[in-house]
Amino acid sequence: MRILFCNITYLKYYDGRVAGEYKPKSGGRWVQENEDAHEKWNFLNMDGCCYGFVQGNSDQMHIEKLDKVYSHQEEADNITVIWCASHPIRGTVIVGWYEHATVYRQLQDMITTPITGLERCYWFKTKAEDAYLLPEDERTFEIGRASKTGAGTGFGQQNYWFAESKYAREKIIPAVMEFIENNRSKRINVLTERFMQPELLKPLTKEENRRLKEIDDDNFMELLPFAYRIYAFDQSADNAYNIACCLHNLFQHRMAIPWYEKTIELDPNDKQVKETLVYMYQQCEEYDKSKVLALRLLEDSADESDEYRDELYSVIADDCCLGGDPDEGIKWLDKILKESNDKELIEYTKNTKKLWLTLRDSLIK
Amino acid sequence: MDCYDSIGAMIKWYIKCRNKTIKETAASMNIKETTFSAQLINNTVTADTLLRLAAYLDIDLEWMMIVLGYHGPVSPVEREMIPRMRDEFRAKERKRVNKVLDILIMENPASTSDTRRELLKAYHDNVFYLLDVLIPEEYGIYMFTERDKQKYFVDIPEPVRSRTSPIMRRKRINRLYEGYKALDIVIEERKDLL
Repeated sequence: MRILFCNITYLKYYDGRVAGEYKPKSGGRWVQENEDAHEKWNFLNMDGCCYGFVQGNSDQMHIEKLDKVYSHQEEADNITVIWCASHPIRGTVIVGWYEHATVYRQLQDMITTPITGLERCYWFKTKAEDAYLLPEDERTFEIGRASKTGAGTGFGQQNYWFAESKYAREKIIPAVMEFIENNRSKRINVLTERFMQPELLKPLTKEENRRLKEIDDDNFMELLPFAYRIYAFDQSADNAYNIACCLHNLFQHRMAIPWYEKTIELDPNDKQVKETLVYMYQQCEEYDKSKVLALRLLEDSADESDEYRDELYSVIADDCCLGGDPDEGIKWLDKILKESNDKELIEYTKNTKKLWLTLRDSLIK
Repeated sequence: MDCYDSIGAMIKWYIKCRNKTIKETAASMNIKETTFSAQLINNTVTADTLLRLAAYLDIDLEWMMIVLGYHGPVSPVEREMIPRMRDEFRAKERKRVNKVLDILIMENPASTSDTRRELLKAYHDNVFYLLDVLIPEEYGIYMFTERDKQKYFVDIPEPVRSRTSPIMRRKRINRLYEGYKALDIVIEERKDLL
């Protein structure tokens, strides 16, 4: 059993909601929104996975402490990560855990595009089905602090603890494992099945139609089952789009893609949804598809502005480079340098080109 | 009807936001109510009426003109940067909106989303107006339309401080916040002040 304890900010949901329970340490909320309490997203289901963050004092996670076999490796698999947080009354308690998680030595960046994703980084990743967040009432298992209970009995100065001591191995870990076994069924985090199309699709009753009108248009979780049922009985582009929109806003990009594709199939002239799809493909690392669609948009862009063309060139360059062909990416950068009138973009493109040339050279070596 | 669709709809929206009626607005401008209503319905507001209205309702005419004529076809690839209201008008509008916002925060202390929903209701679901009034002057507001739905994003000028990706677009759009999310941040900031 390889286990790691992490100490994070105490929150209720860890799905991005922080209203009323957390204030940023300093500065305005606009920038702090992404800088502070990165762990606020630790139990958000993003494309079927949860991504975990803990504030560390070091620029790397010493995964060799989990097992010496990881000394020269960049990641460790099948790790149990126990999430703890300081409750105002109960002390430091277990709030949840990941099973079968991957732990990375270096902090990982998440992919984002201008209209998709979240700008965040993470040390841990696991399937949403292997993540367990406890309701507040069940957060009762206390984990010690070495400063109070002695060395090897709990968290030291770092926010993560590898529980290597004899006491931890013989006393704490078995008790924690028993706690986990007894509390699996109590989790409150959202599993992927909640986003899937229900098997039985009935038309909406009058009462449900009335209810639908009352749901706020940003309550995507509640809207989604209705959207599936409405589409089943009226297969229009608008109804397919509504499903795509719900899934997109619930961070289920992979599941949203087929519905955006369906929207275009039903309404081939919908250029704006095609443009959304270009970014959706990027978000899901489907760079070839993104490039093909962006090239098609470029073919039809004779009447569009220079900015539109520049953005498509940039997207295609990204697709090439991120898809593993930096040489092709650099060709598109050269097109920007040759054709664009945007001074800021030109300056940035020059720097990007230098960066990508270095990247290409290191790949060749 | 969307308030950006026509000058008549926008003036009606302004009258509502100022908690006034068409009747009392017409009376205050010494115009017959029927004449004024007809101008609004038929979008035939005269220059004279418009200037009187601007004084009576405290409207930034330049902003209104641009907003009414500016919404061309926009898309995720080419987001439209919407011009901001003149600063002196924003200051006045912000005072008014903040009064309403403070009451809503008091009424919904536990939920920022509920406060935001009530704020939108109070301003007839005009996301753009609220963003323009409430977010800092130096921030950009982008809009695009998808299947006739308008989507707003706020671009904040601070550079990405922590880890940067080599992806090109990072330079061009620093941090984009979706419209509702941006309103939630403004509400949270206001809560911190109260």
